[in-house]
Amino acid sequence: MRDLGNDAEFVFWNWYMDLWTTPKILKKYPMYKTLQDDVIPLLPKNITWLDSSILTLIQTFGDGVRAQGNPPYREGVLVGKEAGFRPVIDFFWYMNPELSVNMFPHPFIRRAIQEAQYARDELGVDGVGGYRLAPPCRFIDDYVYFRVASDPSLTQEQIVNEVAGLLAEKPENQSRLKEAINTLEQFWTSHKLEDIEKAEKMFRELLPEEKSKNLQYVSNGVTFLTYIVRWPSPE
Amino acid sequence: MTDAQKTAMKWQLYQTVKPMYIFQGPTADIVWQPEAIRFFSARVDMMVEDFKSPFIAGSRYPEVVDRRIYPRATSQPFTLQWPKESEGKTP
Repeated sequence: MRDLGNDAEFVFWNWYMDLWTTPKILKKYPMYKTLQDDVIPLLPKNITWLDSSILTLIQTFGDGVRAQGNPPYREGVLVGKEAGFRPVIDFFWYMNPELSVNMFPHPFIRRAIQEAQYARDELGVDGVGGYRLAPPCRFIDDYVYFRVASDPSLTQEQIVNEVAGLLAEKPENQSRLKEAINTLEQFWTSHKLEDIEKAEKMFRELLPEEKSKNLQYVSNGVTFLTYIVRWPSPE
Repeated sequence: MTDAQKTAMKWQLYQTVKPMYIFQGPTADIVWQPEAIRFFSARVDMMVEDFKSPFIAGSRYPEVVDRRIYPRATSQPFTLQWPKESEGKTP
């Protein structure tokens, strides 16, 4: 962090402070009502302010927000920025909300582009933070994150071209790999078994022809995931 | 799917991923195989539950967030504009 010009002494994770002011919590802890505003003047100024965005809140906690009666929220990243903290970081928590199924490959290409452009154009942040718990299967995910973190204007096609070039040496395999990555990306929106089975087959068939360990790990992860998608609901 | 078919499928999954280097943790950290399979089975059940949960396959907002819900970033309190149920899932 020092090498990047960050002279903050420590990082303050705001972590959707407004989100936790649910009626149930407020009944037990009435001071939560003004906690977000109360805490700001108490913080030292030499901190990095980190929060996840409202877009990530919508994506990961949307049903919970509606269940709570849809109370209004402030964009926590901007709350810190307007309070004068520097640097301000948009934390891409959507990359890996903490569930065991999130160890599997999940490129989040379109979502990463959306969040990076939001961070640049609407939040005007000083930086972004990535997040996931199980890196071995998530080479593509990580590559996408780091690329859009440095250049939010990249398109899905550009990113997939780059990552396919890293994972496959042979040009004829790169075009097949691109289709596999795009199909995997599509699966995470459609959640259709046929999409993940198609991606799994394409990744697996490339393994004997390529040397990349990262390709092997991604393919293995997609194979495991295919069983999970195929599985009937637990009783 | 019968219980016997589920057991067979889980055994097939275990045998498929056990040789994979990155899945040594869930398959082989416990040396005694009957116990390893029990833990693996429990972990798979969690993954299935996760996948079918509102967070993943049940999510109405699976990937790109519909900006009609939140058209412009603001530090002021804003009530999210959820689409009507009839409009279906967001893109």
